[in-house]
Amino acid sequence: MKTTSDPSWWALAAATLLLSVSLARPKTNSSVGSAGAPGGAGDPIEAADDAVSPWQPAPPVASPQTHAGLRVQEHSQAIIDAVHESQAPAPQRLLAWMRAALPPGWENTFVLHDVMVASGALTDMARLLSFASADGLEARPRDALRDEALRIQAIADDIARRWLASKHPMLGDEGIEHLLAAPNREVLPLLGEYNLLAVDDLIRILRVPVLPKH
Amino acid sequence: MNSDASRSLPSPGNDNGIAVEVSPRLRADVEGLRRALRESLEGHPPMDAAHAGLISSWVFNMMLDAAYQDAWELGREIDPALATRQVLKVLDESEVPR
Repeated sequence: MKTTSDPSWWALAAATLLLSVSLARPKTNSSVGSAGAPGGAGDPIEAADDAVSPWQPAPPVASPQTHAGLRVQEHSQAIIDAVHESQAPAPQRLLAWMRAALPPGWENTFVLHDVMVASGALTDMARLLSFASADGLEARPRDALRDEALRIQAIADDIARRWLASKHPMLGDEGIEHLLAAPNREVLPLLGEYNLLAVDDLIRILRVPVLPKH
Repeated sequence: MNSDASRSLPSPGNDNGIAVEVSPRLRADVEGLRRALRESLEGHPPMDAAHAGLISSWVFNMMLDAAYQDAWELGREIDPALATRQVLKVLDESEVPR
């Protein structure tokens, strides 16, 4: 990814201002709808102004008219391409659900990224916590969870549920439950590759309660 | 997941001692994740170290991911060390006594 010196924060601030005070509608970016948003071109500012829209308010992270918004849109499109190339049914079902259920302009936010990351990580966590491989449940690791593993998975699910609901309210409670239940192999690079801290430090920093060592 | 305990914990500042900048969105993301973690743990008894490590690593990775999203949005290089410092800075500054 190349580094640029453009004043992206000013552009983002301008987009936020436009969204807040409902100023004159900027011209639509013709590529917005290319990622499959329902109804073709999606203008988040236009959508936010629509009083009868059932998903209002769902302010996007950035407008596609800004450099930042275009970069996020390109990132979403790259994930969409990766999902198609993977030919994996689970992420394709997730993507289809999002295209049908989310408001126009969702590609200009990190909602797809966050959903794919959360869904893939939770599936992987179920695989780690359970004996899914031994039980022949590799494709549905949640079904192999028992006892303490089930409790830990429930905590992880709850974290994702609360976080997605606060960051992407456009998903709705029903949508979040749908996404959490879907088994999904990762289509994005494993984030853990970048983690520079020791696990013991992370437990302490995040104050996760641990049983005393015997 | 990195379990190398010999790594030192970086300070919230950068290598030159200059304060690391954190965008409002990144701050909100990190604080939101920590709130979700805290609320989800309420009422649960302590867990064994392996499970605590799994949950902690996952949540911290999502916090790092929020920092990477900032980098993508701003057209910057993804810098794991900077992202780590940004996340630690938010956690340090928004620390709530328990």
